Formats: sequence, C-alpha cells, structure tokens
Amino acid sequence: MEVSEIRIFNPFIETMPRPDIERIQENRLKSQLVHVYYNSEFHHKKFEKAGVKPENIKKLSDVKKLPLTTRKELQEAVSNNNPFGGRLCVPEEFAIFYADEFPCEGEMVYVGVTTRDTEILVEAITRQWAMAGVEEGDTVGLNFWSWNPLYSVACMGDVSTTMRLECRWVGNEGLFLLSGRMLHILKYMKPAIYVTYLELLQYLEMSSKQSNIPLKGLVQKSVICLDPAKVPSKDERKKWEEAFGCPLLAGYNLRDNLFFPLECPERKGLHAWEDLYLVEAVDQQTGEQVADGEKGKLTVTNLWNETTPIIRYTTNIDVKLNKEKCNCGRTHLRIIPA
Amino acid sequence: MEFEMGREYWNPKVETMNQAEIKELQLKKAKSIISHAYTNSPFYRDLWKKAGVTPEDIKTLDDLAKRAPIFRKDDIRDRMEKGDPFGGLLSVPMSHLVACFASTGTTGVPTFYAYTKDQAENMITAETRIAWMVKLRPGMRYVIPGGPWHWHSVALFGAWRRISPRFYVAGMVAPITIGHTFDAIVKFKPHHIFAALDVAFGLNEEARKRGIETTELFSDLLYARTGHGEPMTKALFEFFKDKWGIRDAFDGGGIGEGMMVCCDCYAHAGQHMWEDLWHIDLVDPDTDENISVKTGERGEYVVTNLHATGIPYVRCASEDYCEVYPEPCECGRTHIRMKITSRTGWILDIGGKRITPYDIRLVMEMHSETREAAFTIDKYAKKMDKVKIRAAYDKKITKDPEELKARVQKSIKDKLGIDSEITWVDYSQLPVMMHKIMRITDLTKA
Repeated sequence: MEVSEIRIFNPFIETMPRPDIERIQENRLKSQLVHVYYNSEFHHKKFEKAGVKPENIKKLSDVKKLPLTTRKELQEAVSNNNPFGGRLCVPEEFAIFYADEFPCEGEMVYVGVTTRDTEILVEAITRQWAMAGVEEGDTVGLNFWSWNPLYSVACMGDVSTTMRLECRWVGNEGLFLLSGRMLHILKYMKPAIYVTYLELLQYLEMSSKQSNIPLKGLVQKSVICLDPAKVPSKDERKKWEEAFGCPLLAGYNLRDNLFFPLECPERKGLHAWEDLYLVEAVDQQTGEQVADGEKGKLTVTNLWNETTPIIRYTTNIDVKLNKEKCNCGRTHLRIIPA
Repeated sequence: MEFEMGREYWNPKVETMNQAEIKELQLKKAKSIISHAYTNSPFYRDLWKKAGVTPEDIKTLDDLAKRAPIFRKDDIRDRMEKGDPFGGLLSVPMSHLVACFASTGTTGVPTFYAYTKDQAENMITAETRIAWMVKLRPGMRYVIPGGPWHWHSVALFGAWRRISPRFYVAGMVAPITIGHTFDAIVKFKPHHIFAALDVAFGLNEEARKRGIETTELFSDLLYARTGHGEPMTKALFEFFKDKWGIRDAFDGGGIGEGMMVCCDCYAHAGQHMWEDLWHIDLVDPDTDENISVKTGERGEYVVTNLHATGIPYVRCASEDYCEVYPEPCECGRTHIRMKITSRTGWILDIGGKRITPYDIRLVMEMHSETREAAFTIDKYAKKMDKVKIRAAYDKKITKDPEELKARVQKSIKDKLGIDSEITWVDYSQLPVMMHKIMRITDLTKA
C-alpha cells in the first residue's frame, strides 16, 4: 500500500515530530501524577513507600523513580468493601464501570470511564480504525466481549467511533457458541473490518467448514485481532491472512489500563498513541527502561483516564520499542513483540 | 438509602394522553410509514400487490387492522437467501443506518434489524419512559448486563445515560457469565438491577452454591427489572419480593420483529406498550383472521412500528400469544397493556380448547404446595383430550400428595374446563434449560 493511500484521521497529532510528542507527554504525565497521587489511595501508598512525590518528576526520564504496578497487586488490593482497591480517583457518580474479561481468574479489576474519558478513548479508537482502513459508509463487524469498554466506546451513543467515522457496526458477543451466528453476520453484512480475538477465529473456521461458507471474501479490508498478551505467530498470521484473503492486524487488549495498541497495514509493529499513553520497555528487576531496540517488559502509563488510571502498569509481554517514523507516516512509537 | 422518587411519569403529556388523541396520532404516523414502506421496500410492494391493497386504501386504523396483509419472519427468508440481509425490508440507503443487529439464537440464519439515527432516538425515548416507570432514579447504583450487540441495548444504554444512575456493566444478558454479574452485586450493592428471568434464577442458584442468603446479598436492592422470557405471574412477583427482600419487581418484554419493547408498572396489570411509537392488533394464529382488540381478548399480536424508517414493520406478526387490555391502567397511563402468555408454537390443543403453559401455571400457583409451579407438560399428540403434567410439590408442607393431586385436577377442571393427569416427580427430574424449566416436553417429535 502506498503511503498516500493510507488515511490518517488526525494528521496533526499522528505525524507530530518526536520532540513535540515528548513535550505533550511530559506535560500530561505531570498533571496525571498530581491527580493520581492526591486521589488514588492505591497509588498514594505506593508512591509513599517508594519515597516519591509528583514534584520529583520533572522530566520524562524521571519516570523511572516511580514504582511499577502489576495486575497481581491490583487484585490483592480488591476486597468486597473496596471493589476498586483504592484506585478510584473520581466520585462514583461521574463514571460508568466495566467488569473484567471472561473468564477471569482471581479478583476482578473494574475499570471506569467518565464522560470526558469516553471522548478521549473514542478519539484513540477512531484513529486506529481509520488506520485499519475504515471509511465513511463502511460496516464494522465487532465480535468481542460486550462489557469491554472498547465495545461500548466504539459503538454506543452519540460519542462513539462509528459516529465520528460515519460508519455503522454490527456486533456479536465474543462467545465461542455464537460463532455460527457471527459467520452469517459476516456473510450478509460484508464488513470492512472485523474486530475479534485470535481464539474465536478457530471456532469461526469450524463453523465455516460445517456450514460450507468459505471465509474468503467475508471481510473487505482487514481482520483485527486484539488479545490480552499475545500477537499471532508468523504461521498463524499466514494461515488467517490466506483464509480471509485480507491482512490481519494484531493488537493488544490491555483493558485494565484502557490501552489498545494496533498495527497499521504496514504490519511492522503496533502503534501506540503517545500523546495518550507513556509506553516503556522495562527491566522489571530494576524498574529501569531498557535501551531503545532492547528487549523489555511492556509497561504503560495512562495519561488521560481520570477514573481508574494506572501508573507504570507492567505486563509479562516481551517487547522492543521502535521510535523511528513508520512507513505509513506516523511518528508515534511502535511496539515490536519480541 | 432513600431516593426522591418524584413524579410517576417521565413524559406525562404522552404517557397519559387520552385514547382519541393517541388514535389520531397513530393514524397519521401509520399512513406516512405505510406509504414510505410501499414506495421504498420491494418486499412490501410485492406483499401488498399480492393482497390487492394500496396505501390509499388505508384510511382508518380499522382498515390497517383488517385490510393490510400480515407477514411472518419466515416470509422474508426467500429474499435473504438471495443475498439481501434485510429480506427486501430495507427502505433507506445503507448509509442511513448507524447500527445493524442479528437476531438471537445460536443456530440457523439470523434475521437482521437495523437502526437509523432518528429511530435510535425514538427507542431511547421509549426506554427512558420504561426505566422511569420501573423506578430507576438518578444516583441509584445499577448493575446491568453488557450486550450492546443486542438491538435492545442501544435503547437501554441511551435511556440509562439520560436518567444517570451510577452504573456498573457486568456480564451479559445470558446466564453463562453469571459469575460476573454476581461479583458486581456483591461488591457494589446495587439499588436496582436489570436481570432477565433466566439470569435472575441463575443468581439465586449461584447464591445457593456460594452459601450466601439472597436477602443478604441483595440487602440494598430496592427494585429489579426482570422478565424478558416467561411471563411473570403474581406468585412469581411474590417469590422475588420474598426471596430478594425487594420492594417490587417489574416484568419487561418485547419482540425483535417489529422492534417493540414493553414493560409493566407497579400495578402489574399487563405490560404498557407506547402507542405513539407502535400500533398493535390481534389475529388468530391459525387462520390469520382479525380479532378485535377488547379487554381480555387473546390472540397473536401483530406489530406496526410507527417510527422505524430504516426497516419499516407494517403488520409484522410476532408469533407471540397475548392478552390485551386497552383501557387506562390504575397508574394513570392510557396506553394499551398486554400480557404476553407464550409463543404461538407452545399453544396446546386440549379438548378443542387453546391452552398455554401460562394458564396451567396460574392454576398451579393457586395451591400453596405447588406455588413454585415446577411442572412440565407432556405433549403426546397434536390434539389432546387431556393434559398430562409432570410436576413437583413442596415436600415440607404437603401431607397427602394424592389428596393434593385431586385438588389440583379439580381446579384445572373448574378454571380451564379440561381434564388432566398429574404425575408427581422430584424437582431434579424436570427438564431444565438455562436455569428455567422447559414448560413443554414434546413427545410427538421423538
């Protein structure tokens, strides 16, 4: 695909020079830290223990002073009387809360979005969908857990990605049992992009064999696979791209921190919107960032969520970061799964 | 915690409009939707031409109920097979649609519904009136299922945002994710919940499994919206009130074909259906003959959607059997009320009478020993001379099962005028699907 053919939804932000991006990040990080430090009991305790205060973070490189947060810690903080584990930073009245993925092991990590948060998340998803090739009048097939915030942000109500892109959506629950139905939905509605997760594709293939509806030609532009901690392997990718006859774009679904990075059609790493997230590859032992191009654990700081943000949320995903400009023209960093 | 309940109605002007005004409004809207459908939908043009009727022939609502042809879900399958997902019903360009939905059901080809932007707005209005009617108020903690893929949810979410409770999305409408819904209830102690009947039963079962008393679990719960499945009866309302310790439970319902929703009010005298948005009439499910709408009259209801321009539904037969009550309700709402008793496929021919499982249930609930109405009907032939019931009774309070059997049989004879044969079984021997007892065991197909 030629660069000129790729649509960029928000060119000003998406192709911003790196110094400008970092200026925005620094600015947002500082105000987010103040908000979190004074409102989130969970983070306040952690910061105290590590002996840092928001004032200590003067530039982006100071971020290494902040403690890392794991999912296990979030779950341990939760109890029946304290469903958010002290992470809630706004009064409950202002937000909508979503339960965890299904199936969920251990305590559930609830996430919330306020009206303002919704607007920002919609912007993030809109940039992605435009990147995946959605245009006005297209249909988007969604096959995802319906209580993932992504789902309702993408398609429900006036402030939604479908409204912003003037496209329409057709959905189905992300349940194996319903793959036969999803196959018929794809067959009739012929969506431009199909958002799903990897495991479901196998079930879709099974139904496709049973009912004799070939997968080829069902999706017009691209299949998007969002998984919590993995991207499809080379073989898997080849298999599904051949089966559907269109590119497969991989992404992560880190709903705990409302982070959904996605590949562009170049398929050379997952684009993260750096004006909204601070993405690092860290060594979990020392808590320091690894050098660019080195392997580290994916760690994300949410710079926009005011409800249940997580600072330096670290995962078990091994990644390398690439801060060079992508062939598609976007300057934001790319996450290369390692 | 007490909430300011405020006035009874969300939109008093519309909800208490007098019948003459409603009828006038309905006729105006019907005329416009009919000519829109006839002009733009190939399906309606064919259907109406075959019936020899044109939109100009519909001059009154009576004409609509008597002259306009009806259709059922299966009638649009032909066109769907040829590759048109909407079966020729779509009457606007695709670009006017903001969302599409597939009908529920795990197997078979789904039928498709769609929203245009203005229709979504209208549906949100309809749902907001219902949400207010079932006593949802600002500031209440509200645990709700996810499921935006269901056409109903767009309206529900829109309505909830208008009323602005604090809400928690947990699990989906189906019982498979009951753990998620349960967890949210334990942690957030909601004041109001939305739980379809199978989810409600699932919650009871989950509480029993975890050894939690339901009254304790729902300690802050004031109201629940349930239904959306089997029709609710007085005994079932009492059951939920006792078991959950709540003030009231409401019974919602609706139909995909026609995209209609309805719900009952505190009077529990049938589900209110907003007549400014839909029009219904009754037909005989076997002969398709029109039945005039009178108090307590039964028939298959036929929906005309008065606001849907994307996919118009003009006289779409619902395949649901119901009772209607056109007179104003004690709550003051003037719109028609309906009691959906069963699917038309569940109607049994017993001694030449039409009997639904709902009728049997009402009789069973009259006796305290069979108050839970745990029963299934064995359908052994198409035309039956007596009803064969397998049922369970409450062992704690029943002294003589034989005497009870005679009593129940007598009341079935008195109330419904049919003979019956009852076999007592244990609760565990009844066929259960998704936490609900299957009311009919079809032996004719085996």
